[in-house]
Amino acid sequence: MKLREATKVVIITEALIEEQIISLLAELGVHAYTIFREIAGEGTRGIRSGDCLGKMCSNVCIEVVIDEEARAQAVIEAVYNKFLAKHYAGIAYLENVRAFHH
Amino acid sequence: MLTVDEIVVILLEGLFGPPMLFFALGIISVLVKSDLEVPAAMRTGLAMFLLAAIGLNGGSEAVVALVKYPALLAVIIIAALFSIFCGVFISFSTGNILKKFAGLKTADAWAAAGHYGAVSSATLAVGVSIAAAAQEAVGSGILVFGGWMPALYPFMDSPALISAILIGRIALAKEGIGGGAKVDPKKILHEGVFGMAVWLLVASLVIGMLAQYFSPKEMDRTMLFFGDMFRGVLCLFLLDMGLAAGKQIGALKELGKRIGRAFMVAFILPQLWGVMGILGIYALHLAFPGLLGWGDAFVFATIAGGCSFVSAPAAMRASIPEANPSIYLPMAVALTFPFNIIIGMPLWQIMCRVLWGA
Repeated sequence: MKLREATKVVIITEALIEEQIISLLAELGVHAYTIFREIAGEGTRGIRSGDCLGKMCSNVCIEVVIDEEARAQAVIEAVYNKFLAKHYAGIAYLENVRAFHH
Repeated sequence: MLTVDEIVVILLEGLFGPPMLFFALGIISVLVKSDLEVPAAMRTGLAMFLLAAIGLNGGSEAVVALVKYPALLAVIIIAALFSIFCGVFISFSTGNILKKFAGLKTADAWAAAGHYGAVSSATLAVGVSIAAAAQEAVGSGILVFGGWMPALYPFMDSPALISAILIGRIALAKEGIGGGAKVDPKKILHEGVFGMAVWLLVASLVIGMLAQYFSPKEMDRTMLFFGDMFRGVLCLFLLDMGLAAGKQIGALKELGKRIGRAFMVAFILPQLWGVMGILGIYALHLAFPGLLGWGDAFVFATIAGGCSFVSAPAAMRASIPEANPSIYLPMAVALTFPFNIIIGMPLWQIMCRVLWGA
């Protein structure tokens, strides 16, 4: 068993843009990720706190583990600039993790 | 001609029918902070049942009527073209009225306009239950509701969403706000046709037609499930809608000073679109006598007057992200939908019955 340092990118945002984020990740060469659906929470915009019908008000959490920290940085910046900086609610952050290396 | 007593009965039945009381229960449950809740998976299941039932019933009725009256095909095609016109016209007019009269921002006005142009499955389901009950009451000798009207859903829904999004994006680009979202009419059309609601409804309609034509006995047995349970399922579905409406009432305060005008728009506009739909179907009835009943015009009014609040918000959030969902969601769920089912529908019903002299 060999563990090595890696960086985890965590993106919590609107369920509606899940597909768009996955395709942005693919453009950046990221093809391995985990998605948690139907999660709840509240942010500063306040619009994520109400329950409504359909996908409108539900959130997703997307986790990506990346070996090089620089690439993880590039991914989180791309996601922030394209989605979170403008109109969509959410948060993105990096975590240091140790992962198995294939 | 309708008597005053009959009109009172229509109004009372509308208000105190079981589905409407369950809707009220939903709103009250939120106000008293009950933990009563309809799980998301069950909500989808209830919607599936209603859409499949409406489609199957419509398809089987359409086959029977088409075999009897081939001219009905022309009526359906003209009605479909009229639906496309209504979808584009309603989105276009609502957007302009919301912007100029109600004083909404460009993005908010066009995002909301798409909701009013698009079709509300919930409003349609309530309309179908009323029209089908009226047909049952008079027996099969007199035509009240032919059943196939819900097939027009996609013909109004997609054109309405696409036109609201395109006009909205062009208006935003003119104001120098843009680059927010890429608009891909092909993708919107794909979602409009193959999205759960329309796809299941249209597919069930085709299944209903084929099954009714080739195995009518099997179809009858299947409809024991879809027909008799329709009203009960509708009650639980409306309970969920009531819960959603109740939760959005608080969000109405986001409208601030504009609430008075938004209130008027949310109430009056759908009535206008419903009446426009009724007049269109009445004109078609005059051109092809005997093929359309008052229930058909009434159900068309629920398609035209209904304001989408499940699929349209998702489409608008993705295509006009600049718009504030706290404006269009409460307008659609907490104002227009209750207005439509409590006040609009009885009025449309009275108008249709007066026109048809039923």
